[in-house]
Amino acid sequence: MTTENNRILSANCEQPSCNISRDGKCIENHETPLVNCPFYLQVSSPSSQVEANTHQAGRGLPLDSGRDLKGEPVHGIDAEAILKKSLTRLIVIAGSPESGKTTLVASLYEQFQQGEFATYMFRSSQTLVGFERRCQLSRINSERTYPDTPRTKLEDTLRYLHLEICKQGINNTPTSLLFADINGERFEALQRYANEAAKVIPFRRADHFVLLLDSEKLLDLNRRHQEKSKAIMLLRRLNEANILGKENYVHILFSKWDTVQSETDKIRQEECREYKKVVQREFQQGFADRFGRLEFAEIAARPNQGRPFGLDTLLTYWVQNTPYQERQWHTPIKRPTDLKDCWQFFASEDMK
Amino acid sequence: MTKSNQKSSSRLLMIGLPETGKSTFFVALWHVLNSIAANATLKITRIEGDTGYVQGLHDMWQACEPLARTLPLSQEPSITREIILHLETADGKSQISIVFPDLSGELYEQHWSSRNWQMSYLNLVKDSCGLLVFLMANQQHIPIPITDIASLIAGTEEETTDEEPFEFDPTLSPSQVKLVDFLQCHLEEWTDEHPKRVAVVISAWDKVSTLGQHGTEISTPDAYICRLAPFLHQFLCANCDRLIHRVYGISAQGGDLKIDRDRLQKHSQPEKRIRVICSQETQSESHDITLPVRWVLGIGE
Repeated sequence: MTTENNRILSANCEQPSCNISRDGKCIENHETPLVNCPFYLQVSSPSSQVEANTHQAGRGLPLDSGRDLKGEPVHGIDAEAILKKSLTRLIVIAGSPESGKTTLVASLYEQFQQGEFATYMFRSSQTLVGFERRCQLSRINSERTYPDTPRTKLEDTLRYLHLEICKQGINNTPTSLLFADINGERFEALQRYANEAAKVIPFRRADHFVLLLDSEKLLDLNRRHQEKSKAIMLLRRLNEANILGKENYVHILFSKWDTVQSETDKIRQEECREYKKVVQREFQQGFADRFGRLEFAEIAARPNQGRPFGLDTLLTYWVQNTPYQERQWHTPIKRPTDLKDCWQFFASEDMK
Repeated sequence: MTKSNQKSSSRLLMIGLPETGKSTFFVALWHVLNSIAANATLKITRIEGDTGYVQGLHDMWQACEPLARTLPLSQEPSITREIILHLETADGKSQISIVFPDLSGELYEQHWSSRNWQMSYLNLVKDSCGLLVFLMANQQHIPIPITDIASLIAGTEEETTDEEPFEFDPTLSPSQVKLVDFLQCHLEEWTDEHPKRVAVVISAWDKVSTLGQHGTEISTPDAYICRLAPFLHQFLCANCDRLIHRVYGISAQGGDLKIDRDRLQKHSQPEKRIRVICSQETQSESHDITLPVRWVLGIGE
């Protein structure tokens, strides 16, 4: 064991934020043997340095690798750095698998490819490659006939997509948007393990909790009740477990609304519109006084024809509104930037 | 312009994806700097790199022949891709290095795909005081959504393509995204307080007159970037606290060699073929290809 400890403590990692050499803990949550971690470098002996170089070369990296460039979705530590450095909105998007969570975020990014959007300019992103990965299947050079979005992988650690925007004019403060990149199946598990999930997903720090209802399912008489009840059940569980509450703004989005608008069976279309009103009423009756705000909107992030709609209003709302502007505390509140500890932070605040 | 860009030794990087006119710009610049008749305010003191290759390019440029495309290292490993021009101002007070880390542009595709800089490149960036960034006038910089042509392909779809597993291909990303990525990464390494200067060079500017679509006219380089590379344009404008930019439209050949060769060959001074357009310069159109270089370095201000 001592030998193993020595090996761990003399190990190194290509990721600068990993403390493996100090506390023996792999930031990717890999346990010994650490060789399973793709970033692991063992450097306890000169021969290990050769191994490290070989490992590095095996990844296609030149042996004098100077700097790794950002681009993929960031981990919690890098997301915390963004939270500390700039005005940031943390947005958690939930919804059943294939309800359009990733397409929503990808489509927002894609709007800036065409020019300014909702009066905002693109300023920077630490996750350009992540966005490109999610947009590629929707472009004609993918040689596909139908646009698509890759499924979000189920990963051990939560990652975030980052977009920094600003208004024109040198004095306008830029705003960073951090989107928690969550796999749909993980949300299925939320309903059963809400408390455990809350320790991983920073719900209570979220400026906006966004819940998608798939309008394609609402059109389908066989699936609409299940789509509604799953969403209501999730929100109830998160609220009853004190994970979401008055300190959150909740946004219920009816995604893929273009499918309703373009429905040729007018009776079916009208039934869906009426059902949407029923759904809205149920949410309002159940939750209106439990959250800071409860808003509803219809969106089409990537309609089959025409331009996306609803995204400009959504973006403006997210940027300009945050529950922190309305919280009344007897002492000035320090917004938590440590996403891992935000659970403890809010738990301690509730004790006041 | 602060004096920091007029210190005794300054380094300027020239970067751009493959086929963005770097070689043609370079050889035209080299001609002007070497030419007594051109009366340049800068002169070459030394050149590092494959001078035989440079001379060959120069001969072709002078004869109004299309320059052979600079092949990537993998296809022609014998040619050195890095070229460094060591210059001096006419008054002898300032020395400048203009570095082309990779004339072929393959290096920048590799940076985008591999997400890694070699130490040698990182050191180049840290030591540089500004950038010239190249893009080609007649390339598509904006991605086109499938939904934009959905009505055209409806009914013609084949079943197999969409069922294939997805493998992300970074080379398919739009050039404007790659350029923004380059600039972001360079900005992160420039940690001093003074904003850096970035000159955006739109190569083959002579082709722009044919680009106007639906009656829209693109008359200036700034209008080109705003309309045809809007993601890049937003980045440049939104980061005006960290970088100062100018956009130049440059035709280093002077015209289309297939159509205008006879006219272009008649210039007794080849440098008079060159066209440099920039709204922010004193003369919005000139033949002085050193303008973007001198602006980035703050020479003559």
